[in-house]
Amino acid sequence: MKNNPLRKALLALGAIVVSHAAFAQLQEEKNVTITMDLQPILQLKMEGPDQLDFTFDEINEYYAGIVKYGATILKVSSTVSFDLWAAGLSQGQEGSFLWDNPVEYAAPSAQAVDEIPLTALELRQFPANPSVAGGCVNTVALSSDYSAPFQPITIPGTSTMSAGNNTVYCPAPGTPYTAPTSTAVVGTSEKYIAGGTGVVANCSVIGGSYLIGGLNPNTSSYRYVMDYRILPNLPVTFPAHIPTNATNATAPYVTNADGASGLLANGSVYANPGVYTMYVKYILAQDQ
Amino acid sequence: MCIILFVCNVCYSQTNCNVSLTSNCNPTGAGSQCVITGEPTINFTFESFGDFLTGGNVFGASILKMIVGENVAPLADCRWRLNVHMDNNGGLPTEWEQVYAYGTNTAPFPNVNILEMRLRNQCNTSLTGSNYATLATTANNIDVVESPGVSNNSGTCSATNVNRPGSYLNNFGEYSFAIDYRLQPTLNIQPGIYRLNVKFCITEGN
Repeated sequence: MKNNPLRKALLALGAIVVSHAAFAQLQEEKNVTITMDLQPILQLKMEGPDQLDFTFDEINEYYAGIVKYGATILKVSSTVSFDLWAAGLSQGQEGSFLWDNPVEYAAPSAQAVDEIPLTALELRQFPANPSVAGGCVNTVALSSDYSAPFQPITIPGTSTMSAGNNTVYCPAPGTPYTAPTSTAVVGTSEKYIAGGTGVVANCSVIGGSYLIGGLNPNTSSYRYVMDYRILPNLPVTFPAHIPTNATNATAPYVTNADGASGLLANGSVYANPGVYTMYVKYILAQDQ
Repeated sequence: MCIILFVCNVCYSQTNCNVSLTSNCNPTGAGSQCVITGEPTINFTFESFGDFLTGGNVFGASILKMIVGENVAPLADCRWRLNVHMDNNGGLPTEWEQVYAYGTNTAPFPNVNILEMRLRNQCNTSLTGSNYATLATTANNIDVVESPGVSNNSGTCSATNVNRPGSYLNNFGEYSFAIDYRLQPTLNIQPGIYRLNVKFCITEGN
């Protein structure tokens, strides 16, 4: 009887119960789970007309070009660090990197071709790309944005002009959202409006908005005023697109667009009269 | 088997709630009670820039109700304490737990201190008063009711830190807390879905 296993087990259980009661305390815990869904917010507000018309019907407009000052104002609100750039594109009716030509005033010929490169369009921005001053290692002043002034033609007959730095970045048409490749080298850099290549320090603009912090239009990193220029020249060769007239002569998009066009600097091959169209995508992308 | 379960339960509790060595109050389920009402999960979704600027605020999303009973024998001073702390499932003490990341990037996770809580009742007994309180790290806690060697009886509805036995059934304004949650995200943090577990602990005070 003394060694009955059942009796031992009951005694042990009793000891446990007594022990538990002796340490019973007021102790309770309630839980609430908080979840937070933080979505990346990138808002780009564009002020200005959806369509800009450049009509060249005066001789002086061919030599001086037409400038549309402040035609587009870009306003950014972003919760994440971002890059902003412009992409010049077309439907590719006449080929990659070329303006579309929906209306011809005369049939093209060997001398009059419908091959206007997208880089015939120039942009100018204000203020400058803040990443350049901010110390982004992949940028260089003026060449990594559109802040340089438009340059004039100096010798019309040879399509010579002071080296410009404003031709619109144009990605390959099959990959229109490809970001520019900015470099620290004058001559090769592709252009951002804000930011630079790579997820590295200062190569993006930190999240914020033109709405908060008191907007200073002279320095704000969240508001950009864009000017547009098209400079045809006579004969119509659009000299700004020619690499020798561009500071970033070896930037891939400059050489690609120039290579797609048959226009010659000496004017022996020029643009055929007609209506030409292209479009500009402004792209705001997370970069952090 | 019974012993193993009992030991594990103690271990778990110790990591989350302070443990008192005294047993002057009734244990929960045997004279004391703690009930929380409201959704067990509160979701904040920030899907516009305006959402980030204004933050999120839900009022009275949780209601905590308590009954604290005192042991008859041995007769002693039963005092209770209520505090709040957070669990981020083993993450860095200052950060939320990331459940899902929108894309890949190197931006930091949000800090736990962007979550603010206010525990209020009719008699304003909370030590945090009518202010929102926050925690800088999961290692800290917010003291709502404490037992710093002082016994504050219920029934007057005129003092903070009521920590003696009583019931929300008789003195709702002293034994219940409506909990408001406020969340103000900051810019330039990593987009994603984050989670934080808020723990409300009621224990006997020393």
